Amino acid sequence: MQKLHVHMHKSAPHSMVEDLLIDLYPSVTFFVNNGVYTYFSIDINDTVDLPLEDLYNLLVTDFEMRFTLCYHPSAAKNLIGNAFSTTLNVLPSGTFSFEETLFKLYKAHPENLSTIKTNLNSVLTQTDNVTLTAFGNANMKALRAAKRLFIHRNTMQYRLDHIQEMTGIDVKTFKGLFIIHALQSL
Amino acid sequence: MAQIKFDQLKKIYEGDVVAVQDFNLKVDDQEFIVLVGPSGCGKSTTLRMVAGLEDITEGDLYIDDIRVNDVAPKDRDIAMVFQSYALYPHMTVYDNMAFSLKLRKFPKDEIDERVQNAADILGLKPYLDRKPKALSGGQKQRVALGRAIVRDANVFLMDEPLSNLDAKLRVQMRAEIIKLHKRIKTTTVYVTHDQIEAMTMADRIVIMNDGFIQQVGVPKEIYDYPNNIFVGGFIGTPAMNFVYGKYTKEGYFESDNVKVKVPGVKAKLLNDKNYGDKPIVLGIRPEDIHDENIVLETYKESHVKLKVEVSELLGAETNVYAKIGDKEIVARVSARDDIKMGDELELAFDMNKVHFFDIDSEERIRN
Repeated sequence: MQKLHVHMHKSAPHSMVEDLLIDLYPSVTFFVNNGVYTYFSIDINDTVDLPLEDLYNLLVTDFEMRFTLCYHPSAAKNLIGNAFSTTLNVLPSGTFSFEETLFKLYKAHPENLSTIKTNLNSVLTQTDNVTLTAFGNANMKALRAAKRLFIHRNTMQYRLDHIQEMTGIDVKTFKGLFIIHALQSL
Repeated sequence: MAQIKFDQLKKIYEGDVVAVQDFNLKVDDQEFIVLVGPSGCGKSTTLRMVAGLEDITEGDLYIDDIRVNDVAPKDRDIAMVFQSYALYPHMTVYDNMAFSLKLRKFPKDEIDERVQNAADILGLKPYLDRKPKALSGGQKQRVALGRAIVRDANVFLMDEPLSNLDAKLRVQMRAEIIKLHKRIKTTTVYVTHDQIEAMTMADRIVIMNDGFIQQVGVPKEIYDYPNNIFVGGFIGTPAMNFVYGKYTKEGYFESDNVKVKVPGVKAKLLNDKNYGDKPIVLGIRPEDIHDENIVLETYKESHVKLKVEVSELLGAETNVYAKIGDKEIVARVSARDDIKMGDELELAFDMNKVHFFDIDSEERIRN
């Protein structure tokens, strides 16, 4: 499942946007609406016909206002909790992946990420932390990191994938690894 | 109908990335203006500031003399068309075009009139009941235009609307958009990285690079009198050739194996501006390098001898690539002459058409 966070201005016709999304995505389930922020859960297979960038373009042209769309895999919910409901307003109008969202929030107001940091620390195990450090020290080269930890390279891949399954952050990308380190060092 | 005025517009993104600065421009009512430049030059950012999707860091933006910096997008009376010709997959062509009017609670008969009218202009009448997946790329793009037309907005903003289409369709849609503009005359700001689109569609072109406007002018003026090396090199395919060399006080331009006479007026200008015996850049368009005997005889003192490295036959003409020093130059000559790789050619520069640029500032040397 793909999760979609939609941030819109207070004056936006929230119910109309919700109705439109429900029509568009048969699998959509809708969770929160606090007047500026709405949180949807969408099956990723539904989005094939309409990439999120296109959805953004349609929303912007029809509703004529700024929208911030952030999408992420289900697992990211472990980190986010309710943090996005109050922080997404600092992001510009546009469509952002989870890593990009965290990166932009980190650059704008790192202090807003304290909840996410706490959640991250509770999700990551000692083994995950050792894996991340070794992977970073080996310049993101999984084989070299595996050798240093005396583990098989498949085990290394498995562990990196496992971190993504638990946090939603793809640590094999530069932005992903950077943001996970940045969160830990806050 | 509307005028747009940009006054010292500046955009700085978080992390102090300057995307646009010193942006001054007045777009006239009914004008079709094209912002063109390489990726990351700030053209889309400028468009998004007009649409109200980005905050303006500094400066003022006026639409019809009303300052709109803090006006919400929906109160700016602007319609946008994006690159991705996004359409709602679950709606018919008719509903896609009608949707924004329904949101604005227009009466049903007015919606119908506007949609039918737009469909008529765009030749979409037979497709109104189809869903987007049953349309071709060009038809989808026309529906995307239709979604903007029905709004009857004061200003059209188009962000690379043709980039997703194949080459043939792009040429066709280019003509359609020009026809459309002639018919509805809405002030249009069109963003593209394609200089051919800019040259063929624009009333005026704005060339941008690194967040700065490099030149504003009608297409012919931009082509014939580029302000600087960037503009000269950006507009035109193949691009303008630049030969780095020296201007001698005796009135010659010299570089590696090239020595050509600079015509009187240009020589006087260079002498007046104190470029005598100084390094300088000569710019010449490929079509101003000739191989016809008659030209060779006329311009006896502007001959260059070159060894052909690559020769591209395009049908009506041939692009000949060769080197002066370590710089590649290209000449566009008639295809009647059979030119092969390795041939030694004698060509003549049409020195009345060349431009000279300052080697440091890269600006064109002019009065």
